[in-house]
Amino acid sequence: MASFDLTETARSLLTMEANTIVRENMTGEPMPPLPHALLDIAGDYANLLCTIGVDLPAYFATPYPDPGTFDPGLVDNAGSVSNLTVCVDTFDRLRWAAKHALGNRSPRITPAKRVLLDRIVNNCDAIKEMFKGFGPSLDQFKDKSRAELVAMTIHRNSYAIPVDDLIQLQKMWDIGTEVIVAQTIVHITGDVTTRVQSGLGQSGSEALFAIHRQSIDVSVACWRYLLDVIREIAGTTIQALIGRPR
Amino acid sequence: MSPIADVGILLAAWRSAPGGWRRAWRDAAAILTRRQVLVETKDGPTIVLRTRLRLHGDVQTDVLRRWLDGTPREAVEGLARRHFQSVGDAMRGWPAVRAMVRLGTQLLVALGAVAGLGSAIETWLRVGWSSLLSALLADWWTLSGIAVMVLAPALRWAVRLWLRRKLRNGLFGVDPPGAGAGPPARP
Repeated sequence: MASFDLTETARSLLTMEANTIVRENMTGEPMPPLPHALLDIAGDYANLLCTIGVDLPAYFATPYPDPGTFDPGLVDNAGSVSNLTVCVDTFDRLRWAAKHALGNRSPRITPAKRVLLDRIVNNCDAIKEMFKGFGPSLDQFKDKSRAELVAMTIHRNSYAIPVDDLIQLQKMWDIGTEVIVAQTIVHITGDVTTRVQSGLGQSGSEALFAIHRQSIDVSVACWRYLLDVIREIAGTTIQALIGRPR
Repeated sequence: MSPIADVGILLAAWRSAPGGWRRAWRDAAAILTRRQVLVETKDGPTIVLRTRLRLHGDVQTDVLRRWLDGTPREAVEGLARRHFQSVGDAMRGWPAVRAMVRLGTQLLVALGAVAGLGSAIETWLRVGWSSLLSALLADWWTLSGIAVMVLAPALRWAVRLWLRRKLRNGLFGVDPPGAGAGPPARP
């Protein structure tokens, strides 16, 4: 059974983050079972890296090149990779590909793309850490490709992972490689930081800013409820961290 | 929290979130099984606004670009206002559930006390002090009143266990997926 420690979740509630994303399409699909979700995330990252010209097939060559000395740079018409599998190795290779692209001074890597590359590096590192905590129940999916997963019958009760990891993975899957056009972080101390994508200061963005502002308002209003949820279900340890209800 | 305050919370949840306690309970369970509140708003057949309020304390709002670009500003802001009102309402289910559990516990304790104490006084008046203990031990009303009073706090404990189980096992765990869950992964 997965461990049940919500300390991280409670700690993360010390700040509130409101992100606004403009999407070209919206579907109502929920997150698929974990192994598929991991491959979705890896696939999104791989697609973005290919789009900006990272020679991803070179990173996924066998044997695995030493990332410390290997940097093929950007190429025209970069090929894609079709053999992504559920393993640490996949996310390690994607991480290094993004890291090397970040060091490249090509004009193809715009400031907006740099933010996405940073996200890939950070999230791949986070997923690699999660793999260390995955129990034996997930071994059945390790090194499996999409085709192999599709051929399997995945029962949702056949594996378990920590709640904190699930919440993080859900966020990674939800956001993918979408650009966050406006982000506001509210700290429990009262500090507020807002970041806005360049180009949004022009006229015509007022409606989007109004939506973002309302999103912040509702986030702050619901903050208390979220603390309440965690306090109720997590027990005394968390109560000590976030205080007792009055 | 006093029972009067709890009734106030319940009434507020009832007024702001149509659907009453059933909806409040369903919203609270959804927070735990999905670890987020998801509210989608459509303009016609298309989802144009979607907000996820995660347990981690972050809120993600997705806006459909072609709707944003092709709709008058007033209409966008009006729909957005209603959308975020729904997000707030969805979260109000949680305090309502807590208030329900607290009120339920207090009501059980009160019922147990009335049943047990009333019967005990009646027994005492009937048999006096001399054989009171043996008479009380044989009186089902008194015993059941005590049992209800003892079991009432266990109700809160049981609800907490259920909530923990929901949180731990929801989404990927042993709870059976609902209708339409588990879609095929993206190609």
